[in-house]
Amino acid sequence: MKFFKLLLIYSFYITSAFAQSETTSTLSGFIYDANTGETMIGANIYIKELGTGTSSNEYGFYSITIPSSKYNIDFSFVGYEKKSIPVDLTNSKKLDVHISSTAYNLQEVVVLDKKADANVKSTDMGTSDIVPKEIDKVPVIFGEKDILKTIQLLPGVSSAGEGNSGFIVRGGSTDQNLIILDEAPVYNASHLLGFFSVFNSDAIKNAKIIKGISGPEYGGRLSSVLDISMKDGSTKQYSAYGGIGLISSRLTVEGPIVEDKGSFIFSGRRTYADVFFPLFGDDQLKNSTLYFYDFNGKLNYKLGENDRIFLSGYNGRDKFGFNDEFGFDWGNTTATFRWNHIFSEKLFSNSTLLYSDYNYDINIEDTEQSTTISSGIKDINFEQDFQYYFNSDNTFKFGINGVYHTFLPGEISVTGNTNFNSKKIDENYAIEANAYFGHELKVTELFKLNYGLRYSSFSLIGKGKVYSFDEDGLVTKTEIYESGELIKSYSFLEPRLSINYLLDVTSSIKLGYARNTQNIHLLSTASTSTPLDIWQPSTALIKPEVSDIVSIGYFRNFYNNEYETSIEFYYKDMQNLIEYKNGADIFLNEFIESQLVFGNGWSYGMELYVEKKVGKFTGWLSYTLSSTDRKFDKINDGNAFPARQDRTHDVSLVAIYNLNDRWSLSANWVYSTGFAATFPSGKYEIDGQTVNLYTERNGHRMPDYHRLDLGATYYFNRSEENEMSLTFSVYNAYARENAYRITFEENPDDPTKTQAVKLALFSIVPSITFNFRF
Amino acid sequence: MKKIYLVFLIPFLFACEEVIEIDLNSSSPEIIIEANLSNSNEQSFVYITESTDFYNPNAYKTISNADVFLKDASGDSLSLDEVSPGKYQNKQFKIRQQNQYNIEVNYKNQKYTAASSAPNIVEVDSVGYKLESRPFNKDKKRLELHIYFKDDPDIKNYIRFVVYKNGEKINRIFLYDDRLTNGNDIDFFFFNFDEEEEFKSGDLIEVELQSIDEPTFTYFKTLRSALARSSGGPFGSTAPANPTTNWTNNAFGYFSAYVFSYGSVVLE
Repeated sequence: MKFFKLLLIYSFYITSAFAQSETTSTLSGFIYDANTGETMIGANIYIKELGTGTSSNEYGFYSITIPSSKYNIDFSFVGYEKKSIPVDLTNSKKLDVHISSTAYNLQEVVVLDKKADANVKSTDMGTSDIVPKEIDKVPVIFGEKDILKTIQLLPGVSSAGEGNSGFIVRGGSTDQNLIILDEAPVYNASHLLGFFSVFNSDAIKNAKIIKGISGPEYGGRLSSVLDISMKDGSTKQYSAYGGIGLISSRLTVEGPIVEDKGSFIFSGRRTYADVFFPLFGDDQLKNSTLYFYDFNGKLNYKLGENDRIFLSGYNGRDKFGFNDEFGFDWGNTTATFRWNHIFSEKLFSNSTLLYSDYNYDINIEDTEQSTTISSGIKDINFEQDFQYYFNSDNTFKFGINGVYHTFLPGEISVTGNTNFNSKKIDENYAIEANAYFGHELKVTELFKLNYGLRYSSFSLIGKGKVYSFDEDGLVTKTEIYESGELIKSYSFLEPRLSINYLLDVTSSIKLGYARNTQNIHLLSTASTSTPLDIWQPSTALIKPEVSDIVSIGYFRNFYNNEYETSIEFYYKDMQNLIEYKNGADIFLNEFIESQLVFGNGWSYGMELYVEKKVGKFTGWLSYTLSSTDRKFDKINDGNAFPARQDRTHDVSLVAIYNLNDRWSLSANWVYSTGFAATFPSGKYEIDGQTVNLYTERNGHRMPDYHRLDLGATYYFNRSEENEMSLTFSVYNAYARENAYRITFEENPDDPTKTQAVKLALFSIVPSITFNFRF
Repeated sequence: MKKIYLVFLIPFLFACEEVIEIDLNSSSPEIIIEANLSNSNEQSFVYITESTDFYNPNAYKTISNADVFLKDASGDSLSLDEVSPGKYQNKQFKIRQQNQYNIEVNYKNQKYTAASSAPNIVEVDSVGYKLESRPFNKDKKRLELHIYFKDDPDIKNYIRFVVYKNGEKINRIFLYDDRLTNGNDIDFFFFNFDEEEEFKSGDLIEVELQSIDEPTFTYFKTLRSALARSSGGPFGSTAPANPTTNWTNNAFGYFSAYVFSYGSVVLE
């Protein structure tokens, strides 16, 4: 009964929202960077007279419907000059606005717009936006600026390991992050075992991380969404920029196709350690390769006032080759075609068709034989999204999405004289069909509500084989499905909710809940991401992972929004998580399901954040206090144990100081409790060799991790037209030997004893990068 | 596959190692039963010891006065006698291929049992060696040992190699299974990473090719990551665990009834 009452109240509210007595008009358009013509994501539109406003969407489009009258409207974005425009809105109107960056007049006192308070006023929770330009100066290893490394400095996000671009969000595993580049999922976001990410900062406009409480338009991963948008390219002028570093060089060119109508951007990066191989004078090295590259490209064109199309793509690969005998390469390819259409000044539509592919290849060749091993995943995806800006108090989002997945678990083909047989594990096929609806409404001036519902379905289809296993993992039954036949289907309703209650002008309380499900699981038996990891669909035996997260937060800004602060608490429950049996073999194994065990997990914590956003001195402090556990029937005698992701304390401090026109200095310091690890409690002897004896899973801790990085940038010149600079950075400035791994082994000098040996990967690592733009 | 691991070693060029003090829990002594019975009565024995704390010396208490019985499929039972502290043997007895065996150990009112099946014998065709150049240094050659045998396509083969260099056992676990190689002529080869322990000309190499059952294979496979030696690959496994034993009643160790063939070569 209660439910029907609620439904009644809801329908009453919706009808009253639609029943407008006043005459209203709609102001809509796009917001651009005046210098480059790039559209601005999340720029603020504020109507002083009404004390209300909106912000631009991911394509720079905005729309607001208000009573017909004359207004002064402010357009602003952090780091840009605020623009106030008087608008006579007696009729609906289109207004495209160009705002200018303040980046090149540092000497002026930046007056921060009073409305740079989106963090307090929006219903977004556990969400951070990262603009590569802002993080340029954060020091990083080998001087390779990297978005995936920077987000690890945010509260609730921690590193999966030293120098690793894999990240952990609120106790989730690294495969529970949905990483999308212009909407296309990127299945392996790291190069060279995770030391570098595949995202070349020069090609990126904006990255947004949502730590669990996402809108209904996102789905498919338990823990977070990292939504990365590529730059569109300047519609105003041609420019080229890039950098030369110790590890890699990069170059980006962009410019108009037709001024103010369309533009292009192409960006490339390549490492070149192998270029120096011949210098070693060794024939084998001379014939060896070791590098990775990334290539991003994007074109866009305005077909008319209401239509714009985008074509963007990414291709990146790691290549390793040794003396023509051995080759190993892996990488991603994505392609996205999008069409923005404005049906009316209130209804914005985006249609997307995309393709994503990840694969690896191994070649082993000599005079007698040649062996090729390959594996991968391919997606084709169609999405249709609508945003309906009903009035200044009501915005609706809705859409549908269909994905066709092809999984290639592994194939080995051999010719010649070798131990191996050719073998192919059957491909898996799956179809996802999703639909969502979301409504953001201002109930009162102080009370905002954003709720939505996502329907997700995942169907594994033939052809394929389904195996049943007994206790020992032996096959008891094999069922064969024909092409197109439904093997197994799962569907979920995923509610999403966030509420914002403004306490006063500078502070608010927010509350959120979300359910997320995941049907694609990354299987890996190593502690670091490797290219050999396998993406595995849900099957009859592998159930979808499901999470429920609740969060409450207090947001407060100080000194005219110069300082942003927040404290958030969360609790997350996770079901059907995957672990591996002891000695699991996932390589080219058609019975992979028999190697897995399933269980649950939970995580809770507090996240504290203080950021200074403007001025000569900027930076942030984040602190996370959290606990993460797992419980599996078949691990640790069925008792709960701390997850590897469990870090009690996690601190990041980032400071950037713009000393003068020439010098900019930066530092960051990170500290975290060592991750939970399994250490022996005893030892015994087998076959004359000492064996460690374990009593509990993850019952110990690695030593605490901490590290200081320093950076300094010297600008030879710096203007809107061109720029040249040198960046010096020092990773791990006080040379802390952080434990990457601890092994428990026999003392090589005294075989009657055993000892613990710590392996530290990096000591102090200095680097230098030359950057240019013209 | 070994070459793949070379790729992963690259980041470790920067790495440094250091012995550290770390607090560990202590554990109550556990019973360890190593029951290794083969078609050679010389090499067949059961060895019973106890575990100790990690920081204690590597001296393990032996368990004396246990009752050890072996039963074959026909129900015939025989007992093994303690020949030295903790070591039990019966030299009148040999494992026969394609037979199943049950073993029982009684000690301090606790009964421990395990079962193992001896597979078919697989003959070593030959043992050879090749001179190969080292990666990244072609001038320095190293000797690779090659063991040749035929994999029977009609059965699942699990094999453990025990290799002796000049009469001394090489402390490494060499395993083979035919999941990806069923029915082929197999060239199983390896070399020593450690330059000091490399094979040299003049070395006498002896190889035991042990045909083992699946539980024994699983035991040795999972034993690798628990060995108090380096860590099983450059990454370490996600969570080391105790090897999967075939003993009941929480005993550690394994019972393997196996048959083996033999091959040898003198390196030149």
